[in-house]
Amino acid sequence: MPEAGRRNSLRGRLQAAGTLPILAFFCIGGLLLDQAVQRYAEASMRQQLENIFYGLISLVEYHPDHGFRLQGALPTPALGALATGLSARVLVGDRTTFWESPSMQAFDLPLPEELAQGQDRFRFLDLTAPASHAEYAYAVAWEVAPESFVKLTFQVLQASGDYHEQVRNTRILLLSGAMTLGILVFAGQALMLRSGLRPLREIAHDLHALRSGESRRLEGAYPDEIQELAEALNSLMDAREAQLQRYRNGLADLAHGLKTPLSVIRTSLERGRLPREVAQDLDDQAGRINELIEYHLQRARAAGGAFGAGRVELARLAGQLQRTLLKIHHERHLRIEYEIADDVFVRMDGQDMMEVLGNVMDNACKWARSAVHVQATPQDAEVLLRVRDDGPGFPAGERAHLTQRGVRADERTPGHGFGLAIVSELVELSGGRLELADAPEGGAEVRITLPAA
Amino acid sequence: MRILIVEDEPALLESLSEGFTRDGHVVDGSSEGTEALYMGQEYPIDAAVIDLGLPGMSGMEVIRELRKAGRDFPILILTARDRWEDKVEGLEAGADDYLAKPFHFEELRARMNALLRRAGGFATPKLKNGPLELDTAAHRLEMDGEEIKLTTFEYRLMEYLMMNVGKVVSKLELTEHLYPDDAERDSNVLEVMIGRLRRKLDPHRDTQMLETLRGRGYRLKQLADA
Repeated sequence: MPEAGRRNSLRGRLQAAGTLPILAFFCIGGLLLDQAVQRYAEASMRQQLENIFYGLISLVEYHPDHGFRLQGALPTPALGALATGLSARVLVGDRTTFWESPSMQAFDLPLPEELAQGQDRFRFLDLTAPASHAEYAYAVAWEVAPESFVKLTFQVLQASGDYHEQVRNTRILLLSGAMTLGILVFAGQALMLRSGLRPLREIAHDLHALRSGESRRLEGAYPDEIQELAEALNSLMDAREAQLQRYRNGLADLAHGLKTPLSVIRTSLERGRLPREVAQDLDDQAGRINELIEYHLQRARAAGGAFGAGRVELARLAGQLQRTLLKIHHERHLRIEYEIADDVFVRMDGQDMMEVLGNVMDNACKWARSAVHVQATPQDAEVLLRVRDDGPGFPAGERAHLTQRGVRADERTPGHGFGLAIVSELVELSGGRLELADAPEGGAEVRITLPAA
Repeated sequence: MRILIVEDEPALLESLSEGFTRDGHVVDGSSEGTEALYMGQEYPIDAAVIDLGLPGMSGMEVIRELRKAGRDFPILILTARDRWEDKVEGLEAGADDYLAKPFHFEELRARMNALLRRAGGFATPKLKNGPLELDTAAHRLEMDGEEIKLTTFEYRLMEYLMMNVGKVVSKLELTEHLYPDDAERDSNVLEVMIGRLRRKLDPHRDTQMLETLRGRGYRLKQLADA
């Protein structure tokens, strides 16, 4: 299919229309999920640090003589170790440390920023050394004596390397999951389109077969939505065929109705009851009437190259005509041969093709001295059909006239006059060409090119 | 020769019957398929002219049934439908030749004679047997190049014997082929006719070319070329 065909395909449209929402879904969904992951991770980090803060505050004791100190076991042993990344300190006011974890001293971590009493803060500190940390700080007012308060600031820090890595890992997991899902969804969409549109492809294929005459009806099992279309087309084809048949039968009846009286006239004239010249004149007129009837009926009953005109197996047709012509021309002892492969088909109505080949072969038999030869050669999308005889050949300068309407080359050979003109018309109606030529061995050759099927 | 003509147009049937009768044939005419089939099966027909466009049983069916019943006399189709499809169908059904309406009786006669000759095994219009030569076109009999004058009935008798040369032809067969159905069938007349023909062919009773086989019939001998 050319570019234009692709752009116009239903499948392309559906694919495009389906892809945009899916992409949007994955982008927005991914972003939201990413946010949620980050928030959840932050919240759980904050919760963890808050828990340590609550553990620390429960250890604080005040003694009027010794001031503040921590009493009891630390809320988590991790505070006592260096490598855990967890550190904490407690300050009186904003700057005076009265307790700090060993790691706080070892890594020289910064003091918290100033907080008002009763205020807390959670944030990430982007430290160049030793590492980034999450910080939770809380400033409380500690009642050391009735109505006398001292501000205590708690700071809990957790090295956030693990946290970031976790978030990154979760993101990678999410992204790869989303991509896998996306690929699956696109594949599913493609499959759905394929199976959904298959009936359309099938009907297109069947229509092609119908057009080329391979089949006479749309016979496939289509889904309901298309079945109705197929049935409508079928009944249209049937109606057309029935109409052509009715028309042809009507013409045949007309031919019968006109020609039988003409036969009566002719045979009566031969009984010799009228003067010879009168009888001859009347007989000539009867002959003219007959030729006109024949010519116009033959033209009128042509099916032509209409859609689904049909498909003709040339070898079979030539075989039938060979047997028939051998009987008709029995006295002449002619050799009638044909050279046609079994798989040569032309796209033409069967009756039209029979008229064409019958007339041409019969003409060749009338003129042949001893032999008639028929040959069909496929050429790309066409079939070249050659019918030649070893007779005298076409009279020089008369070839062009022979295929014209109503011109007779030889008054003595009945049916010869209109024969080639009719053949030429039938061939052209079906999209073919007719040429008259000299056969290599002398004699006439009729070349007919027809669309292959 | 006995010819069956099947044609539903009365005027045409009449003029064809008249034409063939004038030529010395016996004609059975019918305008309807079923009757024609009966005649073709039951009568000793030598050839038939059948119109395809018959009311009731079509000409094509009549031909098929006749061939199916083993009747192999030559059949010529007449039809106004001159499509090749009809010609092919007719000849494949078992007909031997084809003539499109309207036609000249002369052409029908020529084709009919050709079919009859072909059925008798002769290739040309002139039937030869030794010194005898029967011209079926001119209705002339010659022996050693000299014409022997024959009456119409004698010619018909001679033609039938020539078509069946070397074979024994019974009296019944001869009367059936040479007399119309309703004619008086007097075997004495036939014997007289045979006697007259024999005197013309063999005046000195030396060749004995026309034999009488007691109780079986007559035979025209196959003669050596002169």
